[in-house]
Order: sequence, then C-alpha cells, then structure tokens
Amino acid sequence: MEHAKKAIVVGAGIAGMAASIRLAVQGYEVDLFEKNDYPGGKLSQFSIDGYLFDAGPSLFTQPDNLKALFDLAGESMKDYFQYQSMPISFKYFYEDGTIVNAYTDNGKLAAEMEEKLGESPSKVLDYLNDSKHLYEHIASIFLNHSLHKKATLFQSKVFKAIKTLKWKYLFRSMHQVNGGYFSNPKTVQLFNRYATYNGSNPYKAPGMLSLIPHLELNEGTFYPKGGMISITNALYQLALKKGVRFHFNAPVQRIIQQDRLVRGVVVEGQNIFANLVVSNMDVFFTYQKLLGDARMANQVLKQERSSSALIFYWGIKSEFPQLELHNIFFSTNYAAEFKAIFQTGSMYTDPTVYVNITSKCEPGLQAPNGKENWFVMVNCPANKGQDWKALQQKARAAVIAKLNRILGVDLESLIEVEEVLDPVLIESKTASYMGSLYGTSSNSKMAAFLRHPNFSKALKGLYFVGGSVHPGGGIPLCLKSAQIMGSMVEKDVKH
Amino acid sequence: MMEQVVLVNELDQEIGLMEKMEAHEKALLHRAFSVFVFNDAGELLLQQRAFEKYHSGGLWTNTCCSHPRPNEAVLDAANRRLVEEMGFSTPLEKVFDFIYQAEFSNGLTEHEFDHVFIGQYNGAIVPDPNEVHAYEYRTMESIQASLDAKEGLFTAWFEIIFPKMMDWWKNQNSRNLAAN
Repeated sequence: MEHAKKAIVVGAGIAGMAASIRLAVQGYEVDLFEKNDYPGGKLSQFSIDGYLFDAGPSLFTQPDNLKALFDLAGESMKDYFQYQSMPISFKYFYEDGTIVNAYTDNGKLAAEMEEKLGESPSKVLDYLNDSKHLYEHIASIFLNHSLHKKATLFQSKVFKAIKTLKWKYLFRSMHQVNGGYFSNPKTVQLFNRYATYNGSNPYKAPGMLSLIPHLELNEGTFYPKGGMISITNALYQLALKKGVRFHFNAPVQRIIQQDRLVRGVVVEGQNIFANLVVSNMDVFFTYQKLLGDARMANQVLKQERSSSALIFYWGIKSEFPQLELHNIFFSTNYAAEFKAIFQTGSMYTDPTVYVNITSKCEPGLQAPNGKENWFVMVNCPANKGQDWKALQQKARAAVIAKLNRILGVDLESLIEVEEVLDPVLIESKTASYMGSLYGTSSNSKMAAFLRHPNFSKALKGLYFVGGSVHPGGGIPLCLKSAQIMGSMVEKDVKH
Repeated sequence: MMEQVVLVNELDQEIGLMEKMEAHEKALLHRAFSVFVFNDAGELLLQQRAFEKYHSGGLWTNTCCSHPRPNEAVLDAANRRLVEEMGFSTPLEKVFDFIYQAEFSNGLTEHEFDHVFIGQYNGAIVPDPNEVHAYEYRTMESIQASLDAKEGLFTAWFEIIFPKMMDWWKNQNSRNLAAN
C-alpha cells in the first residue's frame, strides 16, 4: 500500500501559502503551521473605527503570477479575486512644487515627463523599452529558475541571456544607469526609487534593478478589489480548497533532522513527521531557531540586510482630491537619505514619504464617507538596536512637516486614528530578522547570486521560500520562489 | 442554492417553510437570529461583509446573523453560523426578540421574528473570507458616533437593530451599576 506523501510548510505568508498550494496540487498532504492567528504574514490587515488598513505591501503588479497558481490548481481566479488596472501608477510631489503623474500608458508618461521634467520623450520610451528587455530576456530567467543548480546555469538560454546583458547593468549602479538616460535629477530620482522595491540603495545596487519599472509602468499597476488583503484571502481560500490544513497559533519550534535528511518538525512539543519541509520563515531564523545552526545563520548575515520601514496608519477625517492611490513626496537629498539608512543606520531629516490611500479606489468602504485611510511609510534602516521611540517621533514630525508644506494643510488636526509599525514590531510579528522587509539587500553586484537558494544543500527534503531567499522580496518574487521550489521538488522526487 | 426559511406567526409558532428569496419577495414573517459578541472591554465585535456579497458588500454589521434551517433550534443555528462565518465558538445567551419589517431598495422586504443572542469572546478570530472581509471590536459609543455622523459604514439592517441593542446595553449597564 502506498503511503500518502506528506509535506509541512512553516509560515502562512504569501510564499508559504503558494508553496502549500503547489505541493497539494502535486499530491502532497500538506500541513501548514503559522505562529500568528491569521494568514498572510506581512500581507495582513486591520481596522480601526471603520478605517481599513493593509498592514504591509500596498502595490499590486503582475497579476499573472497569481493567475498561474489558480490555473495550476484548476480553479478560475476570478471566482476568488478581482482587480482593476490603474491609469496612474504613482503621483510624485517634489518640494519645488513639481508634480509628476506616472501614467501606465507609455506615450502619456513620455509626454508628462517632457512637460514637467523637460525630458526628451524618446529617452523615456527608450528607458522603458530597455527595462522591458532587461526583464523579459534576462531577469525572467533568473526569476524563474534556481541560480544554484548547475543544470540551470548550463542551459543555453542562460548563457545567451548573460551574453546579451550589457555590462553597465552589472557593473554600474542603478543611479549611474539612470543618470545615463535622463538630464533632470528629478527624473533620475524618480527612477532611482525603484531600488527601494527590494529594500536596496540605488547608489550601490546594480543597474539590473532598472528592470523593476517595467513591471509597474509597462505591464501595469493594479488594485485588488477589497484591498491587498484580498490577495491573502484568495490564496487562503484556494489552499483550503486544495485540502491544505492550516494550524494557526502554532509556532514551529524545531526542524527534525537525521542522517542529513529532514524528518519533520516539532510543534508544541509534539513531533510531526514528514520528509519534505518548506520554510517560509526568514532564512536567518530558520537556521538559527529551527535548525540551531549558528554557522549557516551567520553565513546569511554576510550580506547586508535590506531596509525596513516605519509605517504610520492614519485615519484622516478629510478628503484630498489632489492625491492618488499611490503618492510619493520626495526628499530634497536622496543620496543623503540612503546614506543615513544604509551607512549610519539612522534616518535623514527630510525623508521621502510614501502615502497609499485605498479609499481612493473604494470610498466609503475602505474608510468612512468623506474620510481617507492613509498608509504613510518612510524607508528606515534595519533594526540594530536604535532608539526607535526617538526615531519614530522625529520621523513623524518630519513627515507631517513635509506633507504640510507640500499640501498646504495642518495634517495633525486631521488625524483621528493612528497606529504605528516599526522594525522591531515587524521582526516580532513576521519573524523577519532585524525587521528587514526583503531579507538581504541587493546592494552588491553579485547580490542576485548570493541570495540563499530555495533548497538546503546540507539537508535533503528542506526547501526555502519567501522574501528572504531567491529570487527576492515582494509579492511577485515570493510567488516565484514557491514556483521554483515546486519544480525542484518535482525533479528531486523523480531522482 | 435553494435555502428554506421557517415561516412563523407573531408568537414565533411555525406555520410553514418557504424558499428564502420568495419569503423576502412576499414580505412574509419568518424566523431569524442576530449574534452580538463582546470582548472583556465591553466592545462589540463587528464584521465587514465580503466585498463580493450580492447585497451590502463591504458594509459593516453585527457579529453575525442568519436564518435557522427547518428543524434547527435557533440557538444551534446561531452557534453554527458563528463558527462558519467568524471561525470561533463561544457560549451564546438569548437576550430578547422582536419583530421588524423593512423594505429595501432592491424590492425585497425583511420581515423577521428576530432572536437576539449575546456572547463574550477575546480569542483568535479566523473568519471565512467568502463571508467576511474584516472584523473589528468597537465601543458602543464609537459605533453610535459613526451612525450619527452618517459615515455610511453600516448595513441598513444594522442601523435598525443597533438602537435596540444600545437600549439593552444601557439597561444592562445601569443594572450592573445598581448591583455593585
């Protein structure tokens, strides 16, 4: 008699749920253990006095990554999840009064950048086209395969991809690459910002990262009906439908190993056996806490951590027609801001402020009538024991002063509900070491090759998914990590 | 899915069964229940209906409400729906019932003999995302303030039942104060 194939997944983050679904489709009996009492990890939600707040990720691109999961599971995504496309991805505000709408229509964007920033429209279109090329011909290979299996590296398409890669994308910084296209420092700043999408420093990260704008400006920016939490809800329901067993309030204490094989996990002092374990926990904590392997944990730390965030969730008792779903209020000195975050572990006095307002898309449902739910974020260093209370106060004052200046309001008097998230809370809620949102940073030329792979070289049957491992942080890449893990498991089992 | 409701008279005595939609079209009195769960701080657990619901999607309402099935005790039905919608169970206690009738813009009429249950709970909540988009414990005062400010957050049904619950709540509190 054949025994059912059993798999255990640690953590119900977006990658953990995607991994569970993929394994369930492969015929595994999947038990998923989550320390919190809710699914989604960073992609969670809370509500205060009828103001809804998506706790973490706020930008939705590449719906096809989600659709692939539903297709694989033989379900129709639209029965679980709906979304709309946004004509403007971001609205940018500069201190000198310049305002730029980043249209997702390339022609409109080029015209806007000519009018507001004095850029040549053809340069803008060239940039977007090169971003597309980088993504489609090079990055997609890196993102869809493990870089750590020899078989991948020797595939001819990978050789070809590396051959067509211009050296500037590897050996020049993102800032240098952007500066090569645009004359106005404000345009360079606008495109430098995409380095923050994986918690990196545009003055250090390789030019390769200039593929990120492609996803948002060429492929499109979307808004999920109900907010970002609907992504979590859709995956949760799909996983349930595929028979995944969720165990909430169930922190995994240890991964059991024997003779270089994974044997299962310990939860609440009980051994639960399986020959396949997938960890969606930060790879640092997986080594340190679940495997008791300080040497491998420290290995992970050889690379710089990605940045963290200070988030203010504000219920604003007024409406701001001049704002969009996503808004950026730029720092006057971007270089100084990143220097503070990555070199001195502090925060610059005039930080760049991101304001996300989902009530723009669903007024009266995401916030009470006539009011707005503001998710206000500034990038900040990973937690190294700074005085967060002091940093938080300073940042809050700086943010309010900046928004008052640019919007011409007295914001403090309009805030009727407030909650704050800092790196310490991010670490404790989502087991992200030092509160880093995307595991390690990409602030080095070889970062893409140095991220931890999706499998363990030492322990057969142990796999890793999520933002702290290959290919990287953020929803699209977390979903890719589960996809890579799924195909590895398929191959490994055959052998 | 065909779902039947229990038709009753003004004394809550069963007089028949009818398909749910038909009963709402004909405005016939039928049996229903509403659950109000509070935490130890005395805050009421509200649910925001899933955005995809065929009516009142995305609006806020009490912990849960529904209709008992034929041959199902009302308390059993209340316990069942609480688990199905909100993902937890807690002892429920009936506090009052009342009859109400309200016509909705979609041509349907709610005409219900409503059994109102309360319960207390502070633990984990894992709602069914098909039914519930979000949940939140709010003080009775802040809910009242939202209603007064016409914030448009709540279902039409909740706007009708909330004043009754508020009356019960105030009586309860004054009794508690007198007892202390």
